[in-house]
Amino acid sequence: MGLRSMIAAMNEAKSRPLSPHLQVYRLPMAALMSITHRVTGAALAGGFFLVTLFLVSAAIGDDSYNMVMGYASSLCGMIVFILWSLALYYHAFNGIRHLVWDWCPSTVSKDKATASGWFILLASAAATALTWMVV
Amino acid sequence: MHTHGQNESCCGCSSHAKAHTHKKGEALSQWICLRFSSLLLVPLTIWLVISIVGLVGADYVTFTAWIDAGLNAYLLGAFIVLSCLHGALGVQEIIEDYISCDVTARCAILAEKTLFLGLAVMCIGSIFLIVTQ
Repeated sequence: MGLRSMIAAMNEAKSRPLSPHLQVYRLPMAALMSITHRVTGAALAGGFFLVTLFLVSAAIGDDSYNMVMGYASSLCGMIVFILWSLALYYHAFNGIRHLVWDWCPSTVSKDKATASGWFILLASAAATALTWMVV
Repeated sequence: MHTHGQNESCCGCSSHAKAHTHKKGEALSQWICLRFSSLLLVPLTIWLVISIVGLVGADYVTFTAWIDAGLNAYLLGAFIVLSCLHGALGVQEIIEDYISCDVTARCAILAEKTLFLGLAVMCIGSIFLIVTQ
């Protein structure tokens, strides 16, 4: 018997309450923000391949660079760029909030977390829009 | 450490159950490293996003001239080193949280760290080539 099934059998025998199942439990704002931080972080880690692709192609020469920039300038490429900048802004802003929470735990409260969460969402969208409209 | 979901065992085995395999102080130094790199990455990220958006569609000469100009090569190098470090530690945290089989987790962490190191070396090497060309 595996460890997990052992624990499951033990929980059933003692009729312990189950932790909320993700399928039926509506996650609070802070939890959604937290998992989004992870998802954007993982996406940005993947985006590092694209950064490498650009630099390596430019180091090889103008032919390979033009090919990569050709793909990047297409509609698909622009969508990837915009999503990349949105993920980067969100991860940076929410990361700053995590740093603030780490340094001053007294700033953590449910209401403040919800308010700052909305601020971060709006700020990320605004920063992305501003970046692409100005440049 | 975040826990966003229940740990799923990769192979259902109890022999590979997660042990506290970190060396003493290793987890703390990684935690500090992750935060410290994030702090330095904040200004670098703003600089990079603004620069890259301005470079979309740029031709080869403009792009390489941008890397060669002023401090750009050094700032780009700093961004690459720090974001690779930050990414490697971040992905490690995700693996440690979601993969409960210790053997698989260790292999995955070694693989992702090697990958990030390889990407960083390729990026820095490319910057060096562009600047010296």
